[in-house]
Order: sequence, then structure tokens, then C-alpha cells
Amino acid sequence: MFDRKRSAVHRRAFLRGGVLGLAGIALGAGLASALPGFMGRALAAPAGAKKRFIFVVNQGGWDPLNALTPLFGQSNIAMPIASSATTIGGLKLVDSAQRPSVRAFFEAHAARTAIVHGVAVRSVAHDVCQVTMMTGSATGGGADFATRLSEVGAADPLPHLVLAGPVYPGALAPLVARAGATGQLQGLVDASILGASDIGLTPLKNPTRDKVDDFVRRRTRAWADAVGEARADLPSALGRASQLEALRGDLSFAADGSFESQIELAVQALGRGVAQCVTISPPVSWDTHTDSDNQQSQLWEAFFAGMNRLASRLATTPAPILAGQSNVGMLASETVVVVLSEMARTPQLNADNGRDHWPWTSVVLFGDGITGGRAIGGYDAGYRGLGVDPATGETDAARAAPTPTQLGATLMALADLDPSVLGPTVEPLVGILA
Amino acid sequence: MRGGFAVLLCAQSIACGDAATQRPILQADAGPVPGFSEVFTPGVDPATAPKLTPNQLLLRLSLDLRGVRPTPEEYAQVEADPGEALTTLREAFLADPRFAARARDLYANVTRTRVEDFPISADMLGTDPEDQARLFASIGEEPLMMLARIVAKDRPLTELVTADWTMVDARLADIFPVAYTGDASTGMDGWRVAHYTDGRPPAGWLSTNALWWRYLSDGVNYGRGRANAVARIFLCADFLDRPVDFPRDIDLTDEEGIREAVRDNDGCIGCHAGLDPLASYLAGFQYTDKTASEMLRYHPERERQWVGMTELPPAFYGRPGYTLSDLGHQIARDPRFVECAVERGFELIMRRPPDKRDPLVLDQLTRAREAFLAGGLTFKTLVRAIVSDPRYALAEPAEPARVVPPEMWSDVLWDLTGFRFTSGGVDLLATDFTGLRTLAGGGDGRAGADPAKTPTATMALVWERTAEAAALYAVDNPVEPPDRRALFTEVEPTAVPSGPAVDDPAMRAQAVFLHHRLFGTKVLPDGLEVRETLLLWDGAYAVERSPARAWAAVLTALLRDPEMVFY
Repeated sequence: MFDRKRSAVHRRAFLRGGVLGLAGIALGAGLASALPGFMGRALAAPAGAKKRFIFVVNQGGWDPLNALTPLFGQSNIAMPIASSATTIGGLKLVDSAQRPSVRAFFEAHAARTAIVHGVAVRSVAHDVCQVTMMTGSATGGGADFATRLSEVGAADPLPHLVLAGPVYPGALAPLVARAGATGQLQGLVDASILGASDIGLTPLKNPTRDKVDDFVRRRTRAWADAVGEARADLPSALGRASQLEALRGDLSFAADGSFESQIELAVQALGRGVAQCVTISPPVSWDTHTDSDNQQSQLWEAFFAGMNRLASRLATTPAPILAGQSNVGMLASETVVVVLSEMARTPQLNADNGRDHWPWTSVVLFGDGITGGRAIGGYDAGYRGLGVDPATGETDAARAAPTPTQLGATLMALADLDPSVLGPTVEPLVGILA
Repeated sequence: MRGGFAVLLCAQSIACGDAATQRPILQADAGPVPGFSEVFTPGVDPATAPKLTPNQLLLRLSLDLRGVRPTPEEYAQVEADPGEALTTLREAFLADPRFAARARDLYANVTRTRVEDFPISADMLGTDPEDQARLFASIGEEPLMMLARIVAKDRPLTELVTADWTMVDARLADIFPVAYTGDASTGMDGWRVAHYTDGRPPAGWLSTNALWWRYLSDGVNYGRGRANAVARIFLCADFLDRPVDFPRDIDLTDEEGIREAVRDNDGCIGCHAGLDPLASYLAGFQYTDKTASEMLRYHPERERQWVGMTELPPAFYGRPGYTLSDLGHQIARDPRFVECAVERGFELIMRRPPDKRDPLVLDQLTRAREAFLAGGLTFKTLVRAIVSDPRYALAEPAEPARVVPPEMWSDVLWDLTGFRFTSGGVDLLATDFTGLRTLAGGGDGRAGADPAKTPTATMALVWERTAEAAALYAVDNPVEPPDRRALFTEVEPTAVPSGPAVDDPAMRAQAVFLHHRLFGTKVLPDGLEVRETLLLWDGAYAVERSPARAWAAVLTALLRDPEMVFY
């Protein structure tokens, strides 16, 4: 598995050198060979394909006891009522008639889904847990994992497109573009934002704008040439902006903020090669301090209805064709979906039948390159995360519970990027990688 | 037994350097600024370290201190006598009313109160739902307007934690339990001094609704998250910087076990011995539910509820107290308050944290601290010390150029053209939900993400669209000299030259004026810049068939120039 890490560095070097077609590795080939017919072809990652990611951030602190962690029969853990343990595709889960979409998702996709249990966020404050889960650091140093992963798509117009949810890009900010909570990016791309002004404005005609753009590009190029290569960030930003404007009429960033519209736009952005990573977030709060089990049940059901839709769209949307590629798979063949929440909820109910904040949680990984049907980590009788041997994924009492940094490093390894950028001693959970 | 989990926090921090890119900047004209001594970043050859030209330094001072670009007259003063004029203008900028507004924008990244998801709604408050965006904007400004008044009145920054007043506008006055005091005409955009009337102890920001609506305590954490915000904001002492893990020998499903651990466990007490008594001060801001009546008011009767929460009486790092006012005064007396204000001032002005490994930076901080103390702890004396330091006048690569943040960009456009991009009365560059603030590189108050230090695609798009909007407005609403916003001093924007614009002396003179007004550069009437500018005019006129719109195209292009967005 460590060979994988070394090859990641090599491939990264290749990518930076621009040799896209030769350096690819078909991570999904083994999995695809096990699948019949069309699906087998569709899920085979073509040579040269770059791993794409969708981060799904559930804000407020979800309760995995409703779906992911069947810890029945333990005195310290009050499982939700009307729930039972089940096993689907090798994954031990919580089943309920009230949450058919959860069951439907795992019945369809357990073979490509893994769960990491007992991830330690080491806090119970929303802001802190969120930044920790996204970056590995409680104080937000560096950049969030999604932005780091988008580096392999640095030539894309929007390497990391954020449709909703948090982002902590740090020094990698040029790779990130937010769409805005109400689709403001579309207003910028097609200039319709001018119509929002309180003062009536008659915009310039597009041929005039083209002349203005030419003028600005010339001035910027001359300026950048004069100040040197290190100031290339402005021409680069202008270039990305121009690429986006060229998408006018072809891809709309307008969104109503719903999870469904985010899913659709995320898939389109990945499918057209506009973005390498997309972050989405259902517009709901999982912070259920009262009537928690009832609320969480509804939240999980609605969320997995969306996840089923996302999986379906990934399976039926062609991946972008890259230079040097001859065969084109579907997005599902080269996309990993990372599903997380900043924290979990207490194993027992409070006086309001709510559940409060809990610093160990579970994360779902779905897609290409993941060892499907496998859960690693776990919880002890006190609902604390168990240690995990990162190489094998087996629980190991001598080790600490998995950390968000390890999760990020795992994703870096999956994308053939160097995980050690997250810390010289961080150990990716390679045991969960196919 | 309730399985509530009440221990905070203390998460492992990972040191990741803020890899601020070192970039050179164009050195177009003269040499170093007279009167500034030679201090350089280690590793930079003092003989070759680039310095800002006088005009570049004027631009940096003008934008940093008042958020707008210099006027042609100010450029002329500097060109005539750089050393004297820069000192004079620096003082003028520090005395400018817009300096207080800049302080608000800078500190918005500290309070992180410019958010649009306060746990209250216009509906809950019985106000017009259409007005919610403006209401939330007002809420977020409460502490920042207090800062603005302190800065404008040249009062010590310790009033941030000791003031017995707050600031409210008409919207907040309608809903907060406050009474106006003093003069109605404060000259601060309708904001007035007021006092809370619900019995809350006066303690500056610590007594504001805005701060505690931004930093909510959900009841299970007993205000510890808020206490950490206090330590971070006022003392730069973030408990989260401490690498601590949850001990595994505690049953976290056992509330009593947790309480014991917080008191006795070596792995917990290091943080909680300081954090919990700090949180105890904030018990009066614990809400039992999220109703308007509950959240609008302070609850003096709950001040002693720490007994059932943290179980530790209020204290400030070992020194006991009783009320929020005690806490405010304890913070104000703590030497870390001064140290934090100085380092934060450095970070806000220099756009990067001070590198304390660098002895020259330590020297700079020392000089700033001494000036701050000698100047009565006013923000003005602190900022004066920072911008007077020779390091401030260095150019890249010794000192990275700054990217214009969205609030400043809004002010720059307003100052140059009279246009502000409002929608429904809300400045789109100052808001997120429907606006463009984070897309324009602004900080994210909710996530706590810092403002962008390098340009992005969405920032470029924001500059593009807002420049066009401002240019269109400017040509449709031209003002005449001597109005400082007069952009068309040589020709009427509706005038059509008899031939190609580049051949028309008045058109050339107008192009020269625009370059000087916008960039402070004196280009030649027959120079390349003027020729290219007027070729754009001709091309735009051919499309638009309107001289004013051709000028709008020219102005759009010039407003998007790299010299407009970097300084």
C-alpha cells in the first residue's frame, strides 16, 4: 500500500508536467471486471481519468445511530425506536420502515460504499468541529481537503466548485469558486447581476464587452510580464473567468438552493469538466436538541433520497473526455462521494428527547477506488471511537481513533496526491482503498 | 441518567504555514520614499530590496486608512514633496471619518459577526420579512459600530470591553431593549449611542446581543464555546490551539463522570480550569429557547446558574469576579489585551500574521506596542505606528501587494463614480446570501474563513460586472468640476469627435485625465496608453453608437485594470 503513496507522488509530478494521457492508472478496473455488462464498462475508469470528488456536508451534526451504527443491546446507547439491525452488502446498518431510502441506497450501492466509524473531531462546538472535519485542523490551517484534492484539476475553470457548505481554502483560494447561496455565480457569468441593481442600468453589448475584455487582457498580460511569473495569479483568474463566461448558455449555475438542484449542478459541472471537486450541502439543519429521533429519521430519509438521486445521476452521466482518452466511462467510474457531518449526537436522549453534541462520528465514502461493503473503525461501549490499524482497517486498541486528518490523507492517496502534505506522520486509512 | 456531553473542546492543532506567496511588483518610477530608514526582511538584500515609490505608498496609505484611492491633488502633493506630503497625508487619512469605517471592515474578520444566519428572524420579531437582510446587517454591525465610535472619538480600545453603551440604528432600536442616550446626530449613518435597559452589566462588546447571537451556546456546552471566543477575540489566546485529546478513561455518556473529569482529570483540567470560570461569567446570556422574547433580553436571574453548569464560579484566569463588567475590566487590565491588539493590528494592516521568528518583525511589533501604550491605547496610534514603519513601505517580494477586499472595492467605486451596487437597498458587496461578498474574496463570517489574498475567478467576475455597472452609472450621471467625482473634465461624455478619437486633442486630454484620476500616473497625450484607450473608445462607439456608452466601455476597462485591484 505504501507503493501506492509513492506512485501518487509520481503521478502528481506527471500531471504537473502535463502528461495527462500516459500517467493514468485505472483504479476502477478491478471492480469493473467484477460487474456485468454495461455497468462493468461504465464503471471502468478510463486511463488518464482524474479522480473527481463530491463532498456532501451535513451541517449541524447528524446522528449515525439512525442509519450507520447499529449499536443495539448496549446499556449506554439508546437506539432510536422502530429501528433494527440489518446487514446489506456486508455493511451492518440500522434499518427502519420510516427510512426506506436509506435501505434503497445501500441495497443498490453497498458494493461501492464504505463507512469509517469513530472519527474523532475532538470538540462539540459546531464551528470547531466543522473546520476540523474539513481541514484536519481546529484552527483551519492549510486548506480544506476538497480544495487540496482539486489541485489535480487546476486547469479546470473551477477546480473546486462550492455550491453550498463551508470552505476553508487558505492559500489555495484561487482554486475555489463559490456559486453563492442563491446562484449568484450565474448572475456574474451571464451578467444578469446588473439587472439586480437598484439603479436601472442598460448593460453594454456583448461585442463591446469583448473589446473591453481584450483591452483588459492585454493590460493584464503586460502588467504580469512586467512584475514576473509569481504574479501570474491575476491572468490565471481572468482566464478562469473567461472560461466560465464561455459556458454561458451551456451550463447554468442558477440554483434554488435545494439539495436536488445542487446535485444536478454538481453532476453537470463534473460531467462537463468544469470542476474537479464540488461541495454541496442539504439546506437543512441536523442540530436536533429536541425530539431528535423523530427529526433525524426524517432527515436521514430525505437525505438518502437525495443520495439515491446523486448515485443515479453519476451512473448515467458521461465523464468528460480528456486529451488522450479513447474510451469514456460514466462519472461514477471516476468520482468519489464523501459524505460527512461535523459531529454526531449523544448516545442517550436529553430531557427534551433531543440528542446533544458528540465528538466521534461516522463518514461514508462512496464511489470509485473504495473497498465497498466494508466498514472500518467502530465504537466502544461508551460510544467512543475505536483505534484502527490504517494499513488493514482492522480495529486496534493500541491505536487512536481515526482522525479527520487521516480521512483527508486517505482521500489524497485515493487521488494519487501526496498525503504527507497533511503532516509528515499522518497515516492514510489505506485499508479502505480498493 | 442523561447522556449529555458537556466537555468542550481542545482539539489538536496542526501547524500549517500561511504560505503567503511572495511576489514582485512593478517598479515603474522613482526610488525609495525619502525619510524612511532601511529595514528589511531577513534574506532580502538591503541593497536591492524593492520599495514602494512615493505614489505607490500614497495609494497603499489611502486605501488602507480610508478605503478610497488618492485624488489627483494628493498625487500632486506627493510628487512635489514626497517626504513631507506623505506624512501630512497619512495624518489626514488617520483623521478622516472613513478611517473608522475601515476599522469596522478590518475587525469584521475578528468578530465574525457579519453573518446572515442569526438565530432569529424578522418574522419572530414581528418586523417586515422583506427587511430581514437589512436587519441582519444591522445586528452584525452592533459591535463594529461600537468600535467605529471608539476609533472616531480616539478612545482607548479597552472600551471594547468596558463601555457602558452600545450602538444601534433604528432597526435595532425597535427590537432591542435599549434606550437612546445622547445626541441624535452622531454622524455615523444613523447609528446612535444607546444603553441596554434590561439589567445587563455594561461590558462593551461582552454585553451586546450581536456577539452572543453569533456565538450561541446550545445549553450543553455551558458557554464554553463563547468563553473561547472571548479568549480568541480579546487575548488572541485560542484554547483550540492547545493539542489535547479526550482521555479514554472517562465515560462520556455519564454526565457526572464528565463533571468529575473536568475538575480532576489531568487531560481536561489544563483547558477547563481557565475556560470554565470564563464561561461562568456568561451565564446570563444562556437562553432556554430560541424565541424572540428569550433571546432579546439578558437574564440577570441566571447569572448564578453556573452552579449547575460549569460548577466553577466566575473568574478570569484565577482572579475571581462576579459580573460581566468585572470580566471586561479584567480583560482590559490583562497585558495580553495590549499584546493581542498590537499583533492583530499588524495582521489586519499587513494582511498576514506576524512572523515572530523574524527579529525585524519583533522589532516592528515592539515599536508598535510602545507607540500604542504611549498613545493611550487608541487604534489610531497603533495603526500610525504600523504604517509608519519602514517595512510597510516595502514592495514585493519583501512585502506582498494587497488585493482589494470587497468592502473596499465598494467604497472605491462609490468614491470614483458615485455608484454603489445595491439591490433592495443592500450593498451586494457587503452581503453573502444574495450578495457577492465571499465571491468577491471577502471573509466568511460564519465559517471563519479569512479574506482571499490572491485573486480568484469569481473575484475577477465581480470586478468585471461591478466595474461595468459603475461605469454605466458614471456616464449616465456625470458630475461637473470642481466636484471631486468629476470624471469628464476635458470633454462632455456625450460629445462625438469629428474623426477618430485618437486624433482629437480633447479626447486625448480626457484619456490622460482618466489615467491620472484612477491610477495616479501621468501618461503622455500621444503615448501608448492614451492611444490604446481611445482605440477602445472607437471600437466601442462603433458597436454602441453612443459616445457615453463608448466612455462607459473605456471606464469599465480602466476600472478592471490590475492597478485598480492590487496595491
